[in-house]
Amino acid sequence: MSLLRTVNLKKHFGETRAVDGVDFVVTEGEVLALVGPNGAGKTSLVNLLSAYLTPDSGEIIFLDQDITNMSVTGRIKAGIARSFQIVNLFDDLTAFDNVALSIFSRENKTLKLMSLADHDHEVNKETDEVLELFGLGGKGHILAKEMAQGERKLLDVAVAYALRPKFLFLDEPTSGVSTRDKAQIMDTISSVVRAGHITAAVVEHDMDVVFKYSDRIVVMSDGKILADGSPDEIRANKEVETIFLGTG
Amino acid sequence: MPGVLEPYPLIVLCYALVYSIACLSLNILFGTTGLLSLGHAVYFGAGAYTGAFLHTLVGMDSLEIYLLSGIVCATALAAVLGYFCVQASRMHFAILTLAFTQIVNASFVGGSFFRLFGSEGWFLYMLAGGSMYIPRLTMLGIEYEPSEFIAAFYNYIAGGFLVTVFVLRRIDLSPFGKALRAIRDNEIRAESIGIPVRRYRWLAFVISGLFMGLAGALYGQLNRQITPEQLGWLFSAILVLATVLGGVRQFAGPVIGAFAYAALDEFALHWAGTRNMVMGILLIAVVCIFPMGIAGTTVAVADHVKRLAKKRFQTRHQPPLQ
Repeated sequence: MSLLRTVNLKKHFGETRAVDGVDFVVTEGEVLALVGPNGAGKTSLVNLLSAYLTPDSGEIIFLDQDITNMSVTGRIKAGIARSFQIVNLFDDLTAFDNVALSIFSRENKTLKLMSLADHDHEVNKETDEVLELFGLGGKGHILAKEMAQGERKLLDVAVAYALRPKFLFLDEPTSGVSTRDKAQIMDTISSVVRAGHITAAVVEHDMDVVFKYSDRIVVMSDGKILADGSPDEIRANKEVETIFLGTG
Repeated sequence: MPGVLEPYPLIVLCYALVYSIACLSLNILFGTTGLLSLGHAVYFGAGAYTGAFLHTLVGMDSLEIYLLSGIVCATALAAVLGYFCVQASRMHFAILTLAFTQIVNASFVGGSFFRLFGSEGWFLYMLAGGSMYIPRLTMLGIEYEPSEFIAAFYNYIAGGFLVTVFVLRRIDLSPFGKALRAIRDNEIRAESIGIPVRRYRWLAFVISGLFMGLAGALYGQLNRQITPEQLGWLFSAILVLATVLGGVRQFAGPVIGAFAYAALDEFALHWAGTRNMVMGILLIAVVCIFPMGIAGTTVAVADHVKRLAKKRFQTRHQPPLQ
């Protein structure tokens, strides 16, 4: 069943056609990788789907509902969450508070002016569980800015995951970390996403990561979808090999 | 306190408490939400002037009504002006708040605001150039003798301070307080987890305006004379300065800053001719010694000492190498 689809989605920046008539379908339960060279339009597409950009034309349908003109907040409530290419955390808050805030927001509790946040046992319990899931158990008291880069990457995804989304965008979850950390981060994210039956789209440059962790790969180039298929199909696709992966 | 302190130190304490309320209310926007307002004198002034107009124009003489009317007017004004200010962020926000305070201040200095009340209002303006006198008002219907007044009024100021501390501290520790800090740290991320950034900024602005109105109303009765200066950007800057002096990241920082500012101001009074210069030198000295504000630097030093002690303890109790 299709969870999300776009119809002829376009976003141009002057002469640059960042997203140029993309028809894109995401099936419920799959882990999809969005790949392409720099400037292919991957992040623009993610920004369009998560409402950080407004499309010039086209439609975005999520669970049979037209969400093209829906705000960021509206899409989050509808069940779309995202992490960011450059780690985007509340640096002066603890790891615990970073995650707890997502839960408070999801439960519509952020407008509670006079209740003590630390006394909400349900939120505390769930926050601890989320941190544990992402291998950050026991690190809740550390300020986000004082964590190691790999931990910050995981926390970034944990913050989005805590919203309990139906669809999760992960924008380069392993960029800027060592090869060793990369595998660990992807193992953790993959196991959490699959255990939670969350549909996910991962924007990624590292093809080893892409082939290992995704069910389906969408290749973008010059704002268009160049190829769409299983990891084996993409591996065998000569056009992708020539244009994106290189022939040597 | 009234039984312990002589009248003059009691008055100084009252001013420090009123400034503390003002700085605490400013800090919910500045330190907590990350928005620097250079125009909060407007809400302070609204708190002070509203009751003064009610007294002069309709003969209102109750302190309770004076305080309540000041709070209501300041809150309403903050709700309206805040709506426009929170559409902008950071630097533009500061400029907008400054612009609004200049407009309001100019309407008091030039008298155009007083014209709204017809010839009576214009007469008021012509009488004192925008300044207004507030007599000793009745407290719970009781008229106090001048010698007893300040001791009785202190209870209102202390009560107002305690209520402010309680409410703002609860907000600080609430999910809403955490959401405000999230907005301060990273508004894009805050939006990405469903926090309505502008709405929450506006709400913080209104809460801030409410307590600023309380501070202004208490100040009006304490000082018994208010001038357009209390609506000007310079007064806003003094509130910002006192808040920064105490430390914006610690809840108690603004209170410490307000008391420190009041103490430095008192000290500088001894140099009547060069008071501002002495005050400037004292402020430079304090800022150099406490670069993160008095509370912020104290906490940072205490953390550093704690870490050093922990390290030393671990080194001493380290098992010998095999």
